[in-house]
Amino acid sequence: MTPRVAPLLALAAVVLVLPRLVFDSADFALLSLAVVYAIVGLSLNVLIGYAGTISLGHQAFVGIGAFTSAYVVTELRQPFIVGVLAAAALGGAQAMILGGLALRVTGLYFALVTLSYGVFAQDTLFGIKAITGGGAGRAAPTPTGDGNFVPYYYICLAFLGLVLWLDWRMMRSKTGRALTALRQDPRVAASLGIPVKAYLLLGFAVSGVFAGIAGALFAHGNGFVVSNDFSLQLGILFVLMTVVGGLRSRTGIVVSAALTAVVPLIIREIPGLESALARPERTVPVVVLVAGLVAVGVGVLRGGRAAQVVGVAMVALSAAVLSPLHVPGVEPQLEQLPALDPSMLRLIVLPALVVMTLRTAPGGLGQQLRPVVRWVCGGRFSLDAGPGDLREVVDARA
Amino acid sequence: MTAQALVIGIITGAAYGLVALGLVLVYKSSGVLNFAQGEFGTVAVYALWLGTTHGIPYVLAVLIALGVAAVFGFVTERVVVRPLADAPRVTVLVATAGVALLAVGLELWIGQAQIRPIAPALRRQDRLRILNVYISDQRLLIILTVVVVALVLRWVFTRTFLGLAVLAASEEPTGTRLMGVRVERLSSAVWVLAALLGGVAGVLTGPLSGFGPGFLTSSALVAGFTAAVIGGFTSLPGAFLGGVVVGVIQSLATSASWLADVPGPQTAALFVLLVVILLARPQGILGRAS
Amino acid sequence: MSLLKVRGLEAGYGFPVVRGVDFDVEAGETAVLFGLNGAGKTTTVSVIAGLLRPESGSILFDGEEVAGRSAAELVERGVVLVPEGRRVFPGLPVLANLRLGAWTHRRSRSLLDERLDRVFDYFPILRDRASQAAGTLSGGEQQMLAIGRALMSGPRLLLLDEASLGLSPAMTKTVFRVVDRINDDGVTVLMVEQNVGVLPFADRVLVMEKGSMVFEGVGEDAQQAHLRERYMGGAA
Ligand SMILES: Nc1ncnc2c1ncn2[C@@H]1O[C@H](COP(=O)(O)OP(=O)(O)OP(=O)(O)O)[C@@H](O)[C@H]1O
Ligand SMILES: [Mg+2]
Repeated sequence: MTPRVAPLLALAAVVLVLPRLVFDSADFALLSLAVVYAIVGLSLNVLIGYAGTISLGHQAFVGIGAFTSAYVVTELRQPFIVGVLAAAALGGAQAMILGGLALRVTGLYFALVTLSYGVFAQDTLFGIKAITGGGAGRAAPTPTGDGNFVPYYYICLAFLGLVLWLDWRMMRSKTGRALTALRQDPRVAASLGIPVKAYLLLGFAVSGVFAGIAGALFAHGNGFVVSNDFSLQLGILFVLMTVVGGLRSRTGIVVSAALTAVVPLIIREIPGLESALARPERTVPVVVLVAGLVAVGVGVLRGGRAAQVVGVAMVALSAAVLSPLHVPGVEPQLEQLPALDPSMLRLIVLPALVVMTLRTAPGGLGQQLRPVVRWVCGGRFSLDAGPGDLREVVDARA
Repeated sequence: MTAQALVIGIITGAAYGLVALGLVLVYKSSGVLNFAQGEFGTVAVYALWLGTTHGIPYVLAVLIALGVAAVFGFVTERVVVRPLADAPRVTVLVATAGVALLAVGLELWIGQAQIRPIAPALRRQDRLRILNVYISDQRLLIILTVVVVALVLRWVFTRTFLGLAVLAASEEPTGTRLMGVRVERLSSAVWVLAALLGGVAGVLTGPLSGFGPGFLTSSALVAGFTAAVIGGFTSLPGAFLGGVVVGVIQSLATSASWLADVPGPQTAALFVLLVVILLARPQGILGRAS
Repeated sequence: MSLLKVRGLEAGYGFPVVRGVDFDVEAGETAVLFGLNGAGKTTTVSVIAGLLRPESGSILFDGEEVAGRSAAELVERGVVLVPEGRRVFPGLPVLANLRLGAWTHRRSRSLLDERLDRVFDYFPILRDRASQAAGTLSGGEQQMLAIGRALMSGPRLLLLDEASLGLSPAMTKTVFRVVDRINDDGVTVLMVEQNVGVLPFADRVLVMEKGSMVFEGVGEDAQQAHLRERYMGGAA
């Protein structure tokens, strides 16, 4: 199959040219972040999607890259690219140490280790004053000049391209087949003569390298790094955006991660949304009303009594609030609802999407995008997305 | 000095034990690592805060807060856990992590990114003094609660038909259903109970040093999991004792002079403890090898 | 009147497996359901026991429509299935397994002890193994436990899905004999079987093929030669 040229050019135009036309140069900070998130998603995908091992401590992977590069650039006075390389190297090294643990501790217990590791990194590793500046943080100058994010965005894109290419090469090589075999059944893989341990470590290393790069790009895009940037919340957010993107689907993950990062831009660009979020006492009841109607509908169609009851309650409640006949005393309190800002919205919407994904479309966004991707790659367009390869967040090692 | 650290450790460990009990309860009954356990508690504290600031009497506000936690647990089971009953356990873990994040988002919205104070149930600070450590009545209440809860749950699991059915359902859901047990109802009940335990943990520990979005998750989830691991993840008294062990080790790490230069000694101790235990005795200190 | 009356039963897993099955089981008899692998026998008994919702059709138990009822409701009415593969609770002791069988009567301690004595009377070996984890029992012992556990609820209709699977010929015979005793004590039995050794105990023989009932015979009929040809001969 030869890829179709026209759609690829269109894609390139959307990624390279369109932002210049639509957004201010100030918005490119956020667009750079979108690219960084995409790399983080691809990094997590190597662990969860390819190696079948969960990581809830990926914020630590990214943070180690961020502080490494910041240190190398500001303290050791090396150029930006050396900082990124150092971040990639250290990111890979620390991931391999964790991978060594994964050889001994598997499944749910390993999930706990990564959870604890992430918190440990934030509190202890990133608190080492000489390297990270302690709680005060460390400067990480943007290589293209302070506040000059437009060229930086293109630098980030170049790194994303590199990561995508590496990922694609890896999965087409013996390594990819070995990782697939080991995810599906480590014991069978071992009996086929695949050195399971070595490939698992390799998977961790690759994931760590990707995360290290992402961390460096994050640091220099921010201009400054502090340990509080790398909280458990962020680690969970990373996992969720990767799952929503669809494991083992590069396209889906890049899109989902990028969208997660640019939520504020999306909100600003959709007319009326910003003001609606600023007055949640009006919008939230509407959302509840719609959700209640949907719940009732689903309940009636599927025969779920609980869904119907809850749905009716939601509809009644929101209708009562929205109706012009306010219950005395209720309205003044509703007026006090704080505004919803994009970061909160992200924390609320993404989990909802994850639950939807896991319940109804385990292939995630990647599964939905598959027909388009196949068509662009030169295949025939057909809405039948075909069997996604194993559409689950599986941990065969559990 | 060390003896003092021991006392402080036991006091703080009791709170971890309370969180660990909820984790173990869910794990025993469905094999799920529930990342939302901490948020069951945080949500309850927010409800308590909203209640008390709107003039609802404290006791009533506590009951409402526990009710909110129970509803949260019920909905979580219905919407997230039950549909994923046949999914790999790691998938369910990711889903509960999502639930936790959702709760944090809502708390951020309702309460903003602020640490807030809230009144404790018992106010007296200086009734009891052991080795120069004052133990507030609220702390005593926590210790009493965790001991009682651990013993009651243990009794339920070893002596009652209900506990037996929960264990059976975790091993063999179809077989349990064929005994006439309404397995779905049982699962709801377990999650509601776990959420209530989380709510109790939140309402009791929230007043100790204030609460913010996700406070119980960040202050006690990792410690609770570690405590549960120490207890072998199935033993209920083990979860309580595990909590005490974690509390004591953290407290020793904080007061140890040779660790004075290590940032975040409590978290570091927790991580090292977890790794050492998993490498040395994967079945936990008190758990049986299976 | 038949204790169990199945009419036009259709069931499947998104695709049809049981396609319009009719049969009856009279009170007090032992009915045996034969059929090749994949014929839909397990699916049929699963539907009767309330594990699977039927697409359509009617199941009358003691004159009452029970199609689509939950397993819990059926156990309460006295329909209990000993499933394929036994599904005992491996980590729990034998005694706990048995006690769980009496879940629907959990409030009555005296009833519990009485039923326990009866089960131990049928299967004395379970008494010796009472505190052993069920997962460590031999296959035959597990099968006895599964049957004993089902008896704890005091069933009126006992469904047995391939009770002889994986048992030695001697053990198979023992199990069939005990089931016959249970039947003599007043429990109606519907067995899914592959083993012709059960024929001497059968009052009624049913044969399924590709989701349909192709033979139903009672008494003398049940032992007929053409049945052997049709099913057992074909299987060999
Ligand atoms: N849970 C399930 N999901 C999908 N298909 C199923 C399921 N259970 C059974 N089937 C299919 O339904 C058909 C009938 O299965 P069933 O278990 O009822 O057969 P059976 O007569 O009991 O066979 P056997 O003698 O091998 O036990 C088979 O083709 C089987 O593959
Ligand atoms: Mg069968």
